[in-house]
This record gives sequence, structure tokens and C-alpha cells, in this order.
Amino acid sequence: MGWSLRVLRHRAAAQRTLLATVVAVALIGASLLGTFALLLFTSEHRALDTALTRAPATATDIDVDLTLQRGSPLVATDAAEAYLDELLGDVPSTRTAWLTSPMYRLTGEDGYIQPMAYLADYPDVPSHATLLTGQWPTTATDDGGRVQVSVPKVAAEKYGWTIGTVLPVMSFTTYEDSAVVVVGIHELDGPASGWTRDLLLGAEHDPRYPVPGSFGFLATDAWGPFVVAPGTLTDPGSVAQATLVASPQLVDSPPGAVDALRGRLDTAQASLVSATTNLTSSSAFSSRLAATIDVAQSNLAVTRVSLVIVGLMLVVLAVTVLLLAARLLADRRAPEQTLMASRGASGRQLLRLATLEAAVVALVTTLVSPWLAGLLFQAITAVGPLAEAGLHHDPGRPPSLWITCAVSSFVLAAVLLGPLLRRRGSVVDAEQQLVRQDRRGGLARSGADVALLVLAGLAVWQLRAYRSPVAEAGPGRIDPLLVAAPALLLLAGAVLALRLLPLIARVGERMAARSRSLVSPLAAWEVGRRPGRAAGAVLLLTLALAVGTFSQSFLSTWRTSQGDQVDLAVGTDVRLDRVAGSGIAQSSTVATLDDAQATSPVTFRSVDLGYPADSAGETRGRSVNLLAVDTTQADALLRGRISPSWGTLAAPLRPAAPATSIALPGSPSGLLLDLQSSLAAPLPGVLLVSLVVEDPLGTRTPVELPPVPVGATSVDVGATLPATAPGLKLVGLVAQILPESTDTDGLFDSPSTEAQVDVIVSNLRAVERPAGADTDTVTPVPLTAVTWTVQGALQDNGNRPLLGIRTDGEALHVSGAVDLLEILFGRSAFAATTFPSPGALRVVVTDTLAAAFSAGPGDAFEIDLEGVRLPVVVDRVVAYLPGLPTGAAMLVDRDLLTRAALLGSSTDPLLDEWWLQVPDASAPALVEKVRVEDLGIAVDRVTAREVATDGPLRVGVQAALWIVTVAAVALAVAGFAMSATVSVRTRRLELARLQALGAARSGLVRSVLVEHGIVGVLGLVAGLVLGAVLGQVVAPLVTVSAEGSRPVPAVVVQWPWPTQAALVVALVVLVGGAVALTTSSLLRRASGELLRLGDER
Amino acid sequence: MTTTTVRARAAAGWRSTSGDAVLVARRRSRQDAGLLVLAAVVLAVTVLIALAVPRIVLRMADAGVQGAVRDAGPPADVVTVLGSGPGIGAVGPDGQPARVDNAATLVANAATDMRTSLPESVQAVTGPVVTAVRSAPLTARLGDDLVSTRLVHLGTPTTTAPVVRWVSGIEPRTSPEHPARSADPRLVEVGVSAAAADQLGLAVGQRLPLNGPTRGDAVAVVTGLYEPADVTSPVWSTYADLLDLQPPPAAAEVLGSAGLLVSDASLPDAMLAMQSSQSTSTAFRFPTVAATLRATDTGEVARAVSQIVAQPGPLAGSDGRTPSVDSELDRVLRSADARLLGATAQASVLLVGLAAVGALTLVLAARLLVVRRETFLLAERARGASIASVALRALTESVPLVAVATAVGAALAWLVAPDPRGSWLTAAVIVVVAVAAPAIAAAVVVAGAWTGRRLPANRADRERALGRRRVRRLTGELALVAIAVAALVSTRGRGLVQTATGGVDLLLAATPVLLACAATVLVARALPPTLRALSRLASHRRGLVPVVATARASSTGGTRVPLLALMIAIALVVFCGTMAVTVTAGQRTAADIVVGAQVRVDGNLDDDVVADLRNATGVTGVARATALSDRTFGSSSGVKAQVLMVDAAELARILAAHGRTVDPGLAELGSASADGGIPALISPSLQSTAALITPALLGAQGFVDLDVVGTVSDPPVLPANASTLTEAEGVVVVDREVFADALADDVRTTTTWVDGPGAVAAVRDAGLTATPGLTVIERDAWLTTWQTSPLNAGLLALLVATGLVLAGYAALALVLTVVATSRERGRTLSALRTLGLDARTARAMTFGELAPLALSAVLAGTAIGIAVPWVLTGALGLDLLTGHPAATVLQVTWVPIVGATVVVLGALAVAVGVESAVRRRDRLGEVLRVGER
Repeated sequence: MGWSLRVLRHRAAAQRTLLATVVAVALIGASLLGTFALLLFTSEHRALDTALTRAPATATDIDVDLTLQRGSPLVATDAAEAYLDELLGDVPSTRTAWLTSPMYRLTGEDGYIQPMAYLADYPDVPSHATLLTGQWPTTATDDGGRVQVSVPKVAAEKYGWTIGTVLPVMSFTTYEDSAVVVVGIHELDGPASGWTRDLLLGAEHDPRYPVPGSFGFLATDAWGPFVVAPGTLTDPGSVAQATLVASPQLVDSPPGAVDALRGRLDTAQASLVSATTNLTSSSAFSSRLAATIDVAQSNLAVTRVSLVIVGLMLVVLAVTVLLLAARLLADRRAPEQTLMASRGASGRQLLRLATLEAAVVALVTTLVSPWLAGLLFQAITAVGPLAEAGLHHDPGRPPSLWITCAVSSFVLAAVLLGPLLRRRGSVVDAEQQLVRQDRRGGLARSGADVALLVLAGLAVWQLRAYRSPVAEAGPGRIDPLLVAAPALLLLAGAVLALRLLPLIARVGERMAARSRSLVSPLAAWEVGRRPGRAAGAVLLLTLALAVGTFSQSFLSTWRTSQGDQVDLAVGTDVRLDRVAGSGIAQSSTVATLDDAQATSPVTFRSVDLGYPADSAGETRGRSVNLLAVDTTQADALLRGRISPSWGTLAAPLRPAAPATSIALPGSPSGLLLDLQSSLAAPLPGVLLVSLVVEDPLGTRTPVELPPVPVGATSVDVGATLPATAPGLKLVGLVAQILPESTDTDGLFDSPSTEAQVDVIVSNLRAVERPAGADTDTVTPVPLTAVTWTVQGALQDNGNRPLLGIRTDGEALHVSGAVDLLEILFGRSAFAATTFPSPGALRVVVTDTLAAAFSAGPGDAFEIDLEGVRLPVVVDRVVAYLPGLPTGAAMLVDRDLLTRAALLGSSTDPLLDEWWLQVPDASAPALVEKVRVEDLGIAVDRVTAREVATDGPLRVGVQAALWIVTVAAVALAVAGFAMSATVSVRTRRLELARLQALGAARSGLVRSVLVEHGIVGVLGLVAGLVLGAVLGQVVAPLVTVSAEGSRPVPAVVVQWPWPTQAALVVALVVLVGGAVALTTSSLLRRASGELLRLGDER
Repeated sequence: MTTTTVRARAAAGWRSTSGDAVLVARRRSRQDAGLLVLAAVVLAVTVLIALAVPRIVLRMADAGVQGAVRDAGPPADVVTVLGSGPGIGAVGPDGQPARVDNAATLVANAATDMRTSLPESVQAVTGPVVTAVRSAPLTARLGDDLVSTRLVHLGTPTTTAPVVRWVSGIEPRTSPEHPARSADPRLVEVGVSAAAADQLGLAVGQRLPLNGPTRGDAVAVVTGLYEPADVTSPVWSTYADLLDLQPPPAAAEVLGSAGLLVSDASLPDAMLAMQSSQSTSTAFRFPTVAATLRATDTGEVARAVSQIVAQPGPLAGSDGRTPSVDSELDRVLRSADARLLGATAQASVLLVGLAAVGALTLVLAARLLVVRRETFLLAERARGASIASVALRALTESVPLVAVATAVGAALAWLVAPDPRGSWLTAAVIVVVAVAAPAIAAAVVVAGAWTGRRLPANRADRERALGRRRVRRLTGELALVAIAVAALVSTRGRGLVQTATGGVDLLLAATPVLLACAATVLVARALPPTLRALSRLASHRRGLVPVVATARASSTGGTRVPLLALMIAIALVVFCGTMAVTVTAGQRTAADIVVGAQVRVDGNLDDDVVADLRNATGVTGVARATALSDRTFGSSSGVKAQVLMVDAAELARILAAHGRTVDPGLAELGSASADGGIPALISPSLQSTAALITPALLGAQGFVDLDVVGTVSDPPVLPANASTLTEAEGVVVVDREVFADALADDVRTTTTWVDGPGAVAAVRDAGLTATPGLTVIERDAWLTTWQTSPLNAGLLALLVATGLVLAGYAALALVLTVVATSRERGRTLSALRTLGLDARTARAMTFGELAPLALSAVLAGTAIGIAVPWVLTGALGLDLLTGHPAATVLQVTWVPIVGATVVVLGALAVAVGVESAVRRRDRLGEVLRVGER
């Protein structure tokens, strides 16, 4: 042993350059793999926590609702707190408790039934409420034992309470009389969504609140919350409802805590019941945390598949470098070992020596590389989207990192030993082997490259067949064959490129033989003489460049595709949903959004396409999604990559001309008109008329008039508009006759089952109350300014009654015959509009729909829009529609759709959403404004894009690709530096002799550079070609949506030329620099000693 | 070099290559006529199989689709409905409603028009149209009672044969014109089914005043009683009330429902009697003719049906009215497609195996041919024949032979399954192999014999050259193993049926074959060292046979192809056998699971009926069950469970009698529990909840505590009638009596199991089979129906047939191997014979030489044949065949293994015997004189 160690030490000292290079390469390889392991670890734990932390509170909060009778609230809440502690385990959380008292009867107030109120201790009260007068209660009771409360302003105004008013109350739980004293008057603020835990949901007043104990038969006014000082509601019976809210702080949770929590969430309700048995009358657990975690984990699993794909490529690269290192070391050692063997060293002794050395290298690598990996990880995640996604932190050194580093180190050690295990011939043979090498590499000779190509072809074929690397069985599973396909293709391509090397070497040698200079022929001969080393370098560069260019291509492709997917899924810049109020009110709200450059009301719902079936109530029509927007603004509003543009596609859908209408002067607040009707049948009924008003943004709002009896003349029938706005127009009216009895006596005496109906509308006036005026201004509106169209509603037998319309002076006459049965069943209606019928609507349909009905352009369908059947004609088939990436859907012009619906006697405003065109820069601000002002729910494309590409669950892919790019460059540089080192060290005697013969040192340096240049050019070309092939073949297959399915729209392969050029230049400069630096520093002046002793020392 | 010389040289080259090829081939083939005929027969059989199997699978698929459509019944017909009757809106010149006397003709014409407007693919699969004009529901007054009824006119426009036979009275006629503004009711002459008339006491001439949406008063006059001409005709599909009196719906004060049949002549009256267009409708039924459906067309038909349902515009008649269209045909076809895909996937596994074995056998035959001619071929080569000319002569011989054999095979395939569909690809591959194999084998032999290749003089270089070949071989083998592993892993992960594209993944279908290839590689690597070890062992013992046999076995070359062929064949034989056994056993288990006992009766049975059943002879057990869906498990636990109340002890007995696992504790559920709760078994998914809270179920008066005594792993299968709105998380099994007492609630039995040899008779005797509201399922009948369904029976037959054919191939491959190696062996044995070897020892030696090959093939093949289904049980989609997922448990029996072993060893023994018999004729003197032949 002592002998071995001594030899080892001396040899290490003598060959320190070589050894240092090998250790450096091993360190770089192991560290890069370690960094990747860290990335996997981080994305598994940290990314999940970050994503869950960023999820809205409603998606992660845990609510525990306790309903108490006379039990002690303290005991119950303590039990629930303990339950939450146990449920959350190691996950820290912030807790709040919303305590609501039972209803109190306000015994001091009058009323048919005395009004009620409740006391509340809410955590949100000082922060989300405004104190108008007085002060917030600070102590539970005042000196008289009366509970101090702050009352809502609406209640104080209603009953005339002021500060100091004492209100006698009686609890509905204990039926004890007590009193509360008003110390403050407040108003709740903030969006209504913040008050979901309040008993009245933040409304402060409910006029029809069921009286407890009356089983819902009695209802009265309920007021609240009466805010009390914190800690007031502690007595038994003082709390009826306690809601404990736990907001988990997942970002700080220890590893595994979230998984454990997820497991416990399955039985959360049962555990809660068992924890609060006998303490509450009922306990309910509600949280969307489980679903949130599940969605995040499935997204993460998809990301993990992408990470594994990229990671396998990195493994291929790193192992290649390590193999190269081992091979070079073995080459360098070969004569030495032959010498030792010829001097009597046994094979076992040589092996032991090498094992010791390899073990030392592996040990050093194992110990150092985890730290290097940590530093590298922090450096990579410190910038750009990775930092923003919250990946930048100190991940520590998890076991997976140690394992990765140790395994890669010991693989290197094993590889270092490899050449020694080979059967060794005599010294002479060994010498011969070194000189007369087969030009073809070992891989080509053994056919391994072809075998690899077959395997890779098989894997890529499977990947293409399955079209996604994410296994169908569930995103948690990784399908080995599909995931390994890109790495296999990379390896096969690179190995196949080596077949070119002998050709190049032969040409080089031939040219060298003709040349008269020294430098280039020397380099060419060297390439031909030691093809093994050259092959290693070519392989390395090919792999590195292929991985680097593929990574950048994939990165760009992936980002573009995710952006495209989001564009299409959102469909427009900003979608605004759940805007309050009628169409006119919504228009006014939307008009206040200054950043919106174009707006359109949108109908976005599923409708039935097809015919109702024979059997009652069941339709065989298929549900399809209907998207109706203002198609005149299609280019401005619609997003999602398609060719030709949405504007072109939607052009045939546009109305030929705007709808004619009757302008209402000023900003009317109401409408008045006279109605006269007659029905030629003994059937009492009422006439229900709705006027339809269009606002400047294009919504059509029905305004229902009070019902008037049929067969009478009603003067000054008036209706108030739901909101006041300038620029309103009347576009039509919908009338319906409702029977008041179903008595058919005498109804069918006449042979005809039809009856004549006449309706006369006249004297339309707009009522306006100008600002500051006390009285209304009434302006007559001419009804006859336009040509009216009338159409009866569709009857049960598929026909429409024949109706006529004419204008007679200032009045509008509608007359015709209507089937009496239709009237009897309340189905008889008609619509009169200021515009002609739009006819069949032209629609653009998705290919899914077209395939389901085997329909093509020109085919006609009917859609069932809330009972109104509208004919549509397919104009064009497209792959998808904005906001509807998949499924059967159709796009139609909203103006025409509402015209047709109105003519079909529909009073549905068909207003589901608003789509806005907003510049990218101001979209998030607009969404924030909508959120703050509680105007609705807005979603913008820019934020969604960010989440899809740079969100914590997705950014791992980008991080991996950047790590791999960096790794490719670093490993190429390390590998070439090592190659140069060995090249110079192995040939130092030869180079010294050349120097002694007069060759210039700079010439020899150039010769080494040219040698690597030849190898490098081949590697560059092969690498670029391979990278491009991978980018074209693999990138579209491994780019998947967040759910792991094929992306819609289809992937467009990106090849970012500037980035790729920069990568190539960087690689060339760094590798060239490394080779030049190593060579010039190692190539000494020819020393006499070396020349005298040869290679013996 | 001029063009002329080039041409001359090319001509000379062609002459030297092709010269006398036909002559040589003819004479040579005459010499080896027997072997060539054998090869031709093998090829013909293989082509037959390769062509017939896809066709048979397709026909099975056809039958499957047809069966599915037949099972679906009338809903699978295409029905179009017009919301009016013929000529109903007609108005006379006086403005009064007018009678349209040719109403029946109008309907018939409309039906004919509509048929021609149907999409062609739908026309092709539907039969003659039947029409029905029907009124809205009416009530007929019959004395003091009411009968719900309707006026229906049935028509078959394509045939003149009447749909009914008038057994009494006459066919309804046109009634006299009803004068305008007459106070008399309108009369409609109608017929009533004899069965209904019998029950209602109706007679010819009876007047039935009608209530409903009629135009004024209307009275139906019964002029005749009829019987259906053909009850199974699609005419009657939705008009049961025209055949017999139908029971009244619950809480309706009517006697029942019986339709009134209107004839062509009285249809105009009926139309006039109905009030308006809304009270009548006309239905055109295009019955789907199952026999015309083809599995390959289902997609198109389904699409066309969906389209016509959604878009009936093209069907609009001359009056511009668009009918509504209804049909379940598209849904039925689409769901049948899924099962077919599973069957196709399983068949493709078999087909790939058959093709591989067939091709390998052909290769073996070709090699045998070349081995026999080796001397001549080498002589040719030595005299200057080019490799191309050798290959050409082989092709000249093989091409006509293959052409004839292929034609015979194809013709036989046409006889077996005359069907133009089905893939030709497999057959084409086999034919190419058959053509090329002799040529390639000959070329390889010739090329290896006289080459200009020189071996290096240096030992190390020589070793390196050899090492290179070793490495190349190793690489190939490793790649093969890698592909096999990849296929295995992928199949296990994804299943045979590719969900993304809906087709069969070829790589995955080839998994068993690839595994056999990998195993061959491993065995071929492991065999030589084993034989060497055996040889060493044998050399220390006495006896000549082991020494010579092991030595010869280890030196016999070229055993890979026979080994591969044998191994694939045996693996697939065992695979087929195991699958067949698994499926058959699974079907029986599925019958036990699905039916639960000899007979299952779904529906409420009275206690006395149950008691009668218990007392019936041959009934060993009667167990009742009540399923309560979605009961809250424990108070406010948020967990719902399905509650099964069963006669626990009886059920346990029945389960035990059928050899099914009885959950521990089931039999004791009926005995009262120690701590007061009701003993219950719960499914494992409820365990965690039960551990947290007191398990309880909501009864009539509050919660009833449960005492969980165990878990239920496979609860009894009950008909699915629970609402699907909420998903129950588990099952609670309690004893019926005990739980009913605790519930204090009346429970209706939902299911009754009757077991015992006399169960079927007892249930039939009790008249339960015909009782409305009860469904009786007999285990044996269910099993028979399931087993004989075309897809199941076909696939099982295919499995068995494939197994048998493959066994034949295995035997053949072994015989060919014996013959191919006999020449070399003959030399050894002849030499030994000259030294006094007797025939018996010679036979033993021959057997011993070939036994390792056969044995290793049997062992490895058996292992693969069992391992593949074991690993892939989930992926093969066997649930589709067995009928219940829980029944699909791999069953390994000795039958296929022993069968394969017997076939292989038997074939070996026979071959050895024949060889020895042939050799006996060799004269020893000649051997001594000539030396090695």
C-alpha cells in the first residue's frame, strides 16, 4: 500500500496539469448535473409552494364554519383551532375568526314583525369599513353592562339612531332581553367579494330575512353587522356562527408538508366533525385548497416531463465529456502502464493504483461539486423570469443533489478505470495499437451508431404517434420511451456525424502530403494519426452545439407556443365579465375604462345546434359554443394566431349596413306611449310589451312596460329605463299576449282556429329629467321615421303567424291572425323592429363542429338560442375560435345575432361579457382598476401570458433550457481545453524535437490550434445541423400545454438566428481561447533534458 | 471506352449471370421436390392465415356491430317525424275543413320521397320504410270507464302485404260525409286488436266517444278486430298499445291503454276528426337492418346519422316542412367501435406472432434447402460463378413456386372468408420473405466460401478483427433487447389500444415477438456455457451418449433461427392457451359476479313469494338485498355511501357455494353486536372516515350507529339504478333484518338472489319471469349469451386456432432443424457406427444433441408466454371479453404448457426416429469405403 501511495503522490505531482484538468472536467460535469438536480428539487417543492402562495386567497383559504346553539364559543373555537393546527401540520398559517351572534330582535322598533339585527366581531372591520361618526367599540360593555356596538349607517338612518342610543334587544337563542348602546355608525366598504363571510354578505340590510323558528314563513328586516369590540362574544349563547379562516403560508412550509396536508384534506370534514363533536350543532369544512393543490401538481408534473427530457440531454452531454476525459487520461497513461507492466508490475497492481487515483478524484468531486452546483443554481436563478418566479433562493443541499453528484463522480471514476480492464497484449502490441489505429471510431466499427439510430427512430416514431411525451395514464407517470426519444435522437445524430471524420482526415492527409508548409500539414496529420481523440472532440462539440442550439430553439418555440395558447384561450386583450346592471348600465361602466381602444359586448355561451327531437323536452341537438362579437372590429378585438387574420375571416359575417333605429333625444330616464289592442276571440288576457333600447356601444336592452289588458286602449303606459345615458336609440318592441284564463268555452265554435289580433302603438315620448331640474321634460319621439318590420314568434308546429305592420299617421299598426291555441298556451308573441330581417346569419365554425356534423361552407343549420331558433349558414371552417381553443364552436356577428334574436321575439339581451382591446402596457393596470372598483371580473392576456411562461409552475422549463445551454458551452470549453492539454502533453517530446529542428514555437501553437480548428469546424457543422433537426422534429412534439396535451394553436418552430449566432460565436471564441491559452502555456521551449532523456522521465 | 463495348460487356455480364438459370433451376428443383413442396405448403398456409385472420376479425367485428345494433332495438332505427297529418289543413271551397281522400297515398309518397333524400350511407343500412300517422293522446269512454287511446294509421309503402289480419268484422271504411254545422259527432271507423278487445270486452260495432283535441265531438266505431300479421315487424316497434292492452300508469283512472287502428280508407276521417295540425303527427321509421352493417363503415354511417339528426333540412318534403329526426344509431355505432378496437388490438398481437413464426419457418426451409445444396453451390462458386448468378438461379426457382403457393393460399383464404376487405400487408411481407430467403441464404453461403478477404498474420490484429465482429454482434443483440424492453415498458404503461390515434400501435402489438427475440438472444448466450459445463460433467461420468451429445450440441451451429422460431411459437402457444383459459374462467367468474347466484331477480318481491322460493325444491339459498343510494355516512361527515342491506348469512352461503371470496364477518352481520351498534362491513375507502367519526347512517328517526366489523372488498353487484348526480364514496353492507328494525322504516327489496340447482325452475314456476316490473337474470343464460356473442366467441376461437396452428409451426420448425443438421451428425454417427455404435445409442445421441435446443425453447417460451399476459393483463383489455373487470384474473394452467412440451418433444422424437430409420439404410461398407460423405 505504501508503495502505491508513494507512486500515486509522485505521479500526481509530476502530471499535475493533466490531473487538474481531469478533476476540473469532472467538477464541471458533476456540478452541472447537480444544478439540474437542484432545479428539479426546487421545482418540485419551492415552485409548488410559490404557486400556491400566489394563488388567490379564495383558492387556498380554509374555512371552518361552526354553528353553535348555547354552547361556549370559546371552547368550540379552541377545538377548531386545535383541529386546524393538526390539519395544517407543519404549514404555518395566519388565522382569523369571524364571529356572528344569533339574531336579536330589536324590541324597541315597530313593525309588523319587529326588525332584527346581529352582533359581529369581524377581523375585517377596522380595515374594510369606514367609521362615519362616533368611535369603534373598544370595550365589551359600558358601565351599565350594555354591549357597545357600532351600527350600519342604513340602519341608523332608518330608525334615527345616534351615538348613545340604547337599543333594547332580545336574543333568538336564549330569549333573554338585554340592551346594546350605539357608540359608532359605520359603512362597510371594499368589494362585495370580501364580505362573503358576513351573515348578510356585506349588504347591511335584508328586507326579507326569515325569522328564526318560523320555518321561513315569516320574514322581516334584518340589519347588521352591529360591530362589537373584539373579544366581546365569549359568553355561551352569544355566538351563533363562528367562521375560522386559516390562510396557509405555503412558501415557508418544510418539504413534504404540502403533500401531507393534501392527504389530510381528503378526510378534513370527518376529522372536523370528530374534533368538534358535542361542542357545536354542526361543523362544516370548506376549502378549495385540495383542488388548487391538485391542479398545481398536475401542471408541475407536466413541467417535470419537460425537465426530464432536457435533463436526459444534459446527462448525454456530461457523460460524453467524462468519457472523453477518461479516454484522454488513459491514452496519456498507456505508455507508462506498458512500461510498468514490462518492468514487472502485475495487472492487479496497476489496477489498484488506478482505482486509488480514480477514487481520490471521485471523492474530491463528490465533496466539492454540491457547493459549486448550489452557487451555479443561485447565479442562474438570480436574473430574469427565474428570479421573478421566486426560484431564487438557497435550496441548501438536498439528498438528491448529493446523490446526483456522487453518482456522476463515481461514474467518472469507473470510466477512468475502463481502459485498464481491457485485455492487454504485449508491449509491442500496445505500441502498435497506438500508431496504426483504425480511422473509423469504435462506435462506427461496432455498429453502435446504427443501433442507436434505430432506437432513436423507434422512439421518435412513437413520440410522433402519441403526439405528446406526457403519458395518457396521468401526468404523474413518465413514459420512459417517449421521454428518452429526444436524448436518443441527439446521441444517435452526434455519433452518426463521426462517420464523416475519417473522410475529412483522409482528405486532410492527402492535402497535407502535397503541401510544402509545416503548420497545416502537421495539424492534418495529427487528426489522421490519432482519430480517437479527434472523434472525442468532434462528438463533444457536436453534442454541445446541438444541445445549445436545440435548447435555444426549443426555448423560443416553447415561449411562443405558450403565448399563442394564452392568446387564443383568452381570445382578446381583456375580458370583462360579471359587470353589474342592465346593458345600458354596463355600457356606461365600460365607457369609463379609458385605456380600452375598442370594446364590444359579447355573447359567449353554449347553445343547441340542430333540431328538437320528437320526444318531448329532449333535443338531440348538440351543444356548441357560440361566440358573438362585433365583427367590424374583429382585427382589433380578436386574438389568437390564425391565417388569414380574424378580420379577413370575419369580414363576410359583418352586417351590410348598421341597423336603422329611432334616436331618443337627450338622456331619457323613461319612456311613455299609448297602447291599443284588440283580439277577435272571447279570451281575456293581457298584453305585455317590451321596448328594446340600443345604446352607443351596441347592447340592446329590453324595457318592459306594465301589462295592459287586451282589447282596451291604455294611455300613457310608461316604463323607467334601467339606467340613464345619452345617445340611446329605439330599435324595436316585443309584444306577447298572455291569457288570463284557460277556459275554452266557446273558443273553438268558429271553424277557424285563428283569431285576428290588432295592436296599435302610438305617441311615444321620452321622459328626461335634466340635471338640476325638478320636473321631467317630455319629448315626443316620431315612431314613423323608419320602416318597421314585424315577425311573429315561432309556433309549436314550426310555423309563424302572418302579421302585417303599417304606420298610420303617428301610430304603428300590427295586425294579423294568430292561432288561438298558441295564445291559450301563452306562446303567442311578435316582434316589431326598425330594421329588416337579417336573414340567415353567416357563421364561422370550428373544424370540430364541422366534423361532428360533416358540414362545410354553405351548409345551413338552426341554433336554439333560449327557445328562439335562428337559421345560420356556415361561411367558413377554421381550426379554432378566440377564447375557444377546442370543441365545437361558432363565431357570429353580435349585431346581426341580436337583430335576429329580437325579431324572433327574444327579450334576452344576450350580453355575457365585454371584450376590450387594450394596449399590452396598460392592460394589467386596467384589470387592477376593475378589481379595485369592483366593476366586474377582468382577465387580461398579458398577465395570463406571464403566468403561462414565467409562472412558478412553468418557469422550470426555461430554467432547465438555460442551464443546459450554459452547460453545453461550459462542457465544450472544458473538453477542448482538456483535449489541448493532452495533445500537448502527449506529444511534448515530438514537439520539443520539432523545436530543436527549428520549428517556431508560435508555429507549433498554431498547428495545435489548426488541428482543433479542423475538428471544430466539423463539430460546428454537425452540431448546427443536428440542433436544427432536433428543433424541427423534437421541439414541436415536446412543446405541450399546461395540461400536457397538444397545444392549440399548433406549434410553430422558432429558430432565433441572433441568439444562435451569438451562441456559436461565444462557443467558438471561448473554445478557441481555451485551446490557445492551454497550448501556449503548456508548450515550453524545448528543454535539453527532455531531448536527452526522451519521454522516460 | 465506347458505348458499344460497354453494351457488349453488359450483355456478356448478363449472359454469364443468367445463363442456363432456368434449366439449372428446373433440374435442381426436381432433385429437392419434396422439400420445395413442403416449403410451398408452409407458404400457402401462412398466406392463408395472414389473409384470413384480418378478414375473420373484420367479420367478427361486423357481427359485433350488428349484434350491438340488434340489441339496441327500435331506438337504433332512423325515425323522422313531421308535426302534422296528411292533408290536415285542407280547406274546401266553402272555407270549411275538407276531407282529403287520398291521405294514405300522400303519406306513402312522402315516405318514398324522404327515403331518397336520406344520405346514401344511411339508405344503405336501413330497410323498407314504415309510416305511422298518429293522433295526440285521446280518451275513449267505454261505459263508465275510460281507456286511454289514440288513432294510429300504420303503413308499409314498399309492400302491399297487409300488416294485420282481420279476425272479426271488416276493415274500417270511409264514413259518410259529415254535413257542415251538423250537431252529430264525426265518425271514424277503427279496428282494435283482438287481444285488447278481449280484455276490454269490445265487440264489432261498438261506439267509443273520444275526448281530447278533436274537432267537435268525435266517435270511433269499431268495425273489426285484428291480429298482427307479423309481430316482429318494425311496424309495431313503438306501438305496443296496438297489439294488446297496456297496463295503465300509476294513479291514472283508466283501464289501460289500447290504440285504435285506422285503415287507409278511414284515415281521411281520422284526420278530419282531429282538431288542428298540432294534434297529429306522422312518423317515418327507417328500420336499421343490422345485417347490412359493416364494421368498416360505422364511422361514415354514424357521421351521416349525426348530420341528418342535426340538419334535417334535406328531408323537407314538397310542402316545405322539415321533419325532426331521431336515432340512437350513431351512439350505438360509436360505442360498438370501442369494443371492436380492443378486439382488433388483441387479434393484431396474434397476427404479428403468426406472421413472424411463419416467416421464420420459411427461412428455416430455405436454409435447409441451401444446406442440402451447399456442395454444389460451393462447387459453382469455385468454378467462377458470381454471387449474383447464384442468387438469380435461386430466385428463378423460388419465384414461380412462391407465386403458385401464394395464389393457392389466397384462393383458400377467399374460400374461408370471401371478403375484399382486410390488410394485405402481412401476407405481402411473408411472400417477400419466401421469395428472398433462398436467394439470400444461397448468396450468404457462397459469399462466405470463396472471398478475397485475408486475415492478418499478426495474432493481435486477428484477435482484434474477431473482437470487432463479436462487438458488432453484441451491439445488435443489445439493441434488440433494448427495443424489447422499450416495447414491454410502453405496452405496460399505455395499453395495446392507442388512445391518441385510435389505432393499434404496431410496436406494442409486436411485444411478445420482441420479447421472444430478446429471450432468444439471452438463451443463445447462455446455452454454450451451460453445454460446456454439462460436457465437463459428462466427461467425468461413464457412458458415451452424454459426452458426444453435449459436445455435438455445443458445436452445432446456426441454431439461432430455429431457436427463435421455436421460442416465438411456444411463447405464443402458451400465451394463447393462457389467454383462452383466463378468458373462459373470467367469463364464468363474471357470471357469478354479475348475476351473483343461479338466478337474480331485480325488483320488489313480496315476502310470501320469497318464502315460496325458499321452500321450493332444489333451492339452496334465497338472499334479498335492498340498495339505498347515497346515504350520508356519519353525521355531517360529508361522505356519502351506498348502503346495501342484504340477508347476510344467506348471501354468505350463496357466495361460498359459488366459490367466491366471502368477506370475513359477512355471515355474522345478522347477529347483534356487543356494543349496541348495527354490525356493518364498509369498503376500504370509508375506513379513514370510520376511524375519525362514529360510523352511523341516517334512519327514519335520527342516526343509527354502526359497528364496523370488517371491510368489504368486493360488494355484491346490483343493477345500477342509483342516481348519478352524486358519487357515493363507498359501500356499507349491513344485514337486512337488523337494519330494517333499526331504521323502523319499510324497505322494498330491490334484488333477490336465488341459488341452488332448482333455482331456475323455482323462479319460472313462481311466474316471476313474466311479471311486469321484475327482471330475471339467470346465470347460465347470461353466461351462454355472453360467451356466444360474436365478438367473444370469435376471439376465443381465434385464440385456440392460433395456438394450434402455432404448435404445428413449432413442430415443423423442429423437424426442419433436425433435417438441416442431420448431414453433419450423420458423419459423426457413421464414424461411430464403424466403431460399433448400435442404433439405439445413435438415436439417444441424436436426441441428446437436439434436446437442449428444444428444451430451452420450451422453457423460455413458456416463461414468456406466461409473463406476457401477467405483465400486460391490464393493458390487453381483457375486461371487454370477460364481462367484468374484477373477473379478469390471470389463470395459468398446465394444459398449454404440457401441450407445447408434448408437441415439441414429440416432434423431436419422431424426427429422430425417422432420421435413424433413414440412416439404417446407409450401408456401413460404403461409409467405410467412401469415408466422410
